[in-house]
Parts: sequence; structure tokens; C-alpha cells
Amino acid sequence: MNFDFDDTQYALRDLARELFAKESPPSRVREIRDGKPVDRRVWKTMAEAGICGITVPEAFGGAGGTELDLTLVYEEAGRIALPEPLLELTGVAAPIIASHGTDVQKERWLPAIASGDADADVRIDGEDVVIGDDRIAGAFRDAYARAFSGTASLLNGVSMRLVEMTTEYVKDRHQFGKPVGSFQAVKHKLASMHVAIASSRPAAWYASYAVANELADASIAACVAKIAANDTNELCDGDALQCHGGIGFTWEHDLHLWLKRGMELRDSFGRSHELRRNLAAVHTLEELL
Amino acid sequence: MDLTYTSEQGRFRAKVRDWLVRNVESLPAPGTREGFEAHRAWERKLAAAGFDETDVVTRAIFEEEYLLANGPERITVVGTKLMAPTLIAHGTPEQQERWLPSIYDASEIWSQGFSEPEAGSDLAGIRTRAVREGSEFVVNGQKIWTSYGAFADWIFALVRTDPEAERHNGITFLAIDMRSDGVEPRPITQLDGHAGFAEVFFTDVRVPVANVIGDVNDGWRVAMTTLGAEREAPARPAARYLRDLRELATMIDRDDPVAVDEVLKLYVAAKCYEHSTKRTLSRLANGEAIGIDASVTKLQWSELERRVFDVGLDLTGPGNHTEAWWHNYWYARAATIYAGTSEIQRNIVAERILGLPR
Repeated sequence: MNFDFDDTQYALRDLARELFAKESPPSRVREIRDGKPVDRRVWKTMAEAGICGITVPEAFGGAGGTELDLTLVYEEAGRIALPEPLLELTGVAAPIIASHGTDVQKERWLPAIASGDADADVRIDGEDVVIGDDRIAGAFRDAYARAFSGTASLLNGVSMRLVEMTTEYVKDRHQFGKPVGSFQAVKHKLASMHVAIASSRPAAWYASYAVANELADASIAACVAKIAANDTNELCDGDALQCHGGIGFTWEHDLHLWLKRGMELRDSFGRSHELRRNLAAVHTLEELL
Repeated sequence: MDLTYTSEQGRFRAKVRDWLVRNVESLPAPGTREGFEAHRAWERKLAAAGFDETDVVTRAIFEEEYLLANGPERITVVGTKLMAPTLIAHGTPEQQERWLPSIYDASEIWSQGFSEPEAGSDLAGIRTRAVREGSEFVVNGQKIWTSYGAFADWIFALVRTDPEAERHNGITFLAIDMRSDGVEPRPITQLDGHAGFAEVFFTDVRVPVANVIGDVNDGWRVAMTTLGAEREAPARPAARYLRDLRELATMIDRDDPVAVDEVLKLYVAAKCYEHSTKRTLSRLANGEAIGIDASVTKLQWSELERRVFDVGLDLTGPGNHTEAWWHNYWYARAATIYAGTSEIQRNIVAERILGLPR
């Protein structure tokens, strides 16, 4: 029984954390949100550090890793509200092409994803996965599991950042002569945010494990992880702004960058009620329980 | 990351399951003398079966199987989970020799004397006092919410031995024989009519000084070991809530998409809790201490337990439930109160994990 990541995976997380903090500070996230195009430089730097090719097979220039090697990197990407297409290209396209693509498709995409040269939209269309103008037939189930699992970890990263920002703020902000974080009404909100993350995070980790090992419950586990991450983020989103008070409602403060990133990710690949409706349509309660 | 069980653990699970299927019986509730003695007999049989649960993973497997087999309520928990580790940490060899064997073979049942009418969430507010007379302490005062207090053989109690000292000092951890003169337990009838807890009154109860665990006036530190042991225990098995939900699923109108969705929400919460418990188990198995994270776990399971029964009541209404269901319903209402209220747990999480100012 070892529900933990290995040293290499933690080292990769540290590398990603450092790189993201240096290359994509809040000022850059803000500029991009204000309409500045995403420059390719950060993505290329990630490629050079080996992040883009984590899931690309070694024969095609990658590290040959699994969803589990990506999980903690996703959390870091969420914490920093990274705009780069890590989920789309490294999380979904690469493993899908490697397992379902033709030799031609593999040659076309895999080395380019690892090197950071690939630039394509990734979407699920019916039973196919479409990468740029290329179609990978019948890969939708695997793609959804990876998309759910990855988005869940990205979202958990956003929620973690919201707790960090809010904790820092309520320690600093004084009213009635003391930090507002000394009041129980505020403390209890933050505690509930922390507890929610402590629930949705292991669910996302398990989803990654199930996807990486192709377990029978991978699709369901990934869907559960996405629902949980959505709900945790919704809670953290609401209480982070509430605890920030007026300052959080300004354009000037960075909080809204993370609120909006969370909102986008909650919408990606399904909001909670849609995902539950899909679960109920495909599985009976007996199958799930 | 590897969440599979070893083949040895798999064999242990099969052995436990097989034994439980053959031996589990339905017993009268332990709130009466007859029911309590039936439970004691069951505990002795279980102890004799010798499922030596040495490591946390094996123990968790046992508890999961026990739950799925609908095993009787465990009346030895206070002894095995709280008193035994406390004795191991602070007891003298003589004390360990005296009490540990009878804890393990279930011949003596322990209860816990921490809470008092004026010391609930604020445990350091205890007033029960013990005055030394020669080789004995004379104990006067009252404990409350003592599980199995009406029938247990022993109670470990926090008593005030130095009334002048500051709150956390001057407290002593004392093992008291419940059969002593002057010990008077009174069962507390709960809001559902059941009696599981008791008030315990002490009037001039004479206790040998040899029954002090740790040093006199150092009981708070000893009690922290007891509470720590409670915390280090892996959380309540998630299998329990999934089982409750399977039961709920049979009671709802399956053509009602709203009802199904409510169960699905609980299913997601229960799965999250299941994964968190695996994570806790893995940390314990790797020799890590859970420490303050126990407050997070307590909030997770107690709030989930509340939701399962609150939503269950909304979906099914108050009619047509078995007595066992109502018992679980009301006990779920207590889950966010006992072992530290949710409010206290949130204070702990905010102050000691997130570092918010007191």
C-alpha cells in the first residue's frame, strides 16, 4: 500500500514549480488575460526542461512517463494559472496518439509535442479525438478519462493557490485592531476550504493512478475526480473572494485571475451536474456503489 | 504509487471474512447489562481467534471486513485503542503487566473519564479532584459522556491533584476500578431513547497511588498521548458509508432523477473519503505520523456521515425505517459533536495547519 509519488515525480514537481514561477508570474497571466497572445517562449522552455514530453514515448524523444508523472506538474500549473496547453498536448494528445494513432500520426505529432513545436487544438468529437486537422478514431473514452483526471489536478492546484492567497491575506488584513484571520467566522471558511482540497486531491491522484494503470474503474474514477475538483473549486472560489472582501473585487488585485482560471477549468470537459447526469445515464447506482 | 494489497494481506482478508461469516451473531444492544455481557463474551471469542493486527494496513483490512460482515459494536475500543498505547508509553512495567493482558483478551473493559459537565470542548476545565492520603488518592467529582460507563470494569480519568496550579498543570491521569466503593454510574438516556453513555459520580473513592499513570500533576501530557493514539488510528472505514449508500439506493424512487442525483452527490463524497483514507493509511504504513491532520479526517467522515443520513431522511421520509436505521441516523447527528466538535476541529485546522492567529 503506497499511495504516494516517487522521488523522481517529486523532483519533477519541484522543477515545474520553479520554472513556472520564473517564467509565468501573475503579471504575465494578467497580460494574457488582457488579450496579449501567448508567446511560445514559455512552452519551449518547458519542452527543454522535459515537461512537454513527459508522456511521449522515449522512441519519439520523450520521457515515456505516465499520467502519474504529470499529476503533480498539473497541480503546479494550476497553482500558477499557467495558460500553456499542457493538458491538451502532453496530457491528452500524446498518450492518445501513442496508443491509438497510426505510425504516420505518431511520426507527425509525438516528436513535435516533446520538442515544443506542436501547435494544435485538441478536442473530442463524438468517438474520435481531433488534433489539429488529424483524427484519431475511437479514442474518446481514453481521452475523456485523461482530460477529467488532468483537469481535476489543474483545478486542485487553482484551489490550493486560492487557499494560500486567502490565508496570507487574512493574516495581513487588520480590522478591529486584529488580523481578520483571528476571527472564527473567517477561520472556519479557510478550514473548510482546506478540508475540501484534502478530499478532492486524493480523488484526482487515484484517478491518475487508475488511468496510468488502465484499471477497469479509470473512467469512473476520473469523472468522480473532476466532479470533486469542480465542487472544491467552487467552494474555494466563493470563500476566497468573500474573505478578501472589497479588495478582491477590484481589477487591480490578482485574485480574479485565479477565480476566472478556476471557472474556465470547471467548465472544461463538463460541469458537475452534467457529469453526474452522464454518470447516471451510463451506470446504475449498483454499478457505482 | 501502488495501491494493491500483498498476497499475504489478501490471504488475511479471506481468513477474516471466512471466520466472521461463520461466527458473527446478532447481539442485544450493549446498553443493558445483558447486552453488555453478550458483547464481552463476543469480544473474548474474537480476541481468542487471534487476528493479530500488527500493522496498520492489516488492521484496516480487518476493520473493513468486520464492518461488511455487520460485526457487533466493539466495546473494547477504549481499552485497545486508547489505554493500551497510553500504558505502553507511560506505564511502569508493573502497570503494563497488570492491565495490558486483560485489555487484549477482553476480560476487563475500560471506559474513558475525560469530559465533565464543565469541561467539554475545553477539556482543561476539569474539576474532579483527587486528594492524597498516604498511599491513596481520594477522588470526588463527576465525569460525563463515558462510553459503557454503566458496565465497564475500569475507567481512566483526568483528575485535578493541584488546585493551585494553572489549568493544564496539576492534572493527574488515574486508573480507577469502577467496582470501588463510591463509584456510581448513571446511564444517560439519549434523545433517541437509547443508553450508551453514562455519567459517573465519584464520592470519596479511594484509589491506590500506584494507579497513577505517568507522574502526579503530569496527567495532561499523558492525556495527549491518549488523544494522539486516537488520532493516529486510521479513520473510520469508507466502506461503511458506501454500504449506507447502497442501502439508501434501494429505498429511493429510481425513476426520480433528482433523487438519483442526490445519491450520486453522496457517492462522489464517499469515494473522495475512500481515497483520503487510503492516503492516510499509506502515510501511516510508511511510518509517518498523522498528527494534526487527524482533525481534517474527523471533519471529513463526520460531515459525510451527517450528509448521508440528512439526505437519506429527505429522500425517504421519516416512515418505514428500521430501528437500526434510526439508531444510525441519530448517531450521525452526534458525529459532529463527539471526539471534538466540528467547530473545534476547524479551529485546529485553521490555527495549526494554516497558521492563522489565535
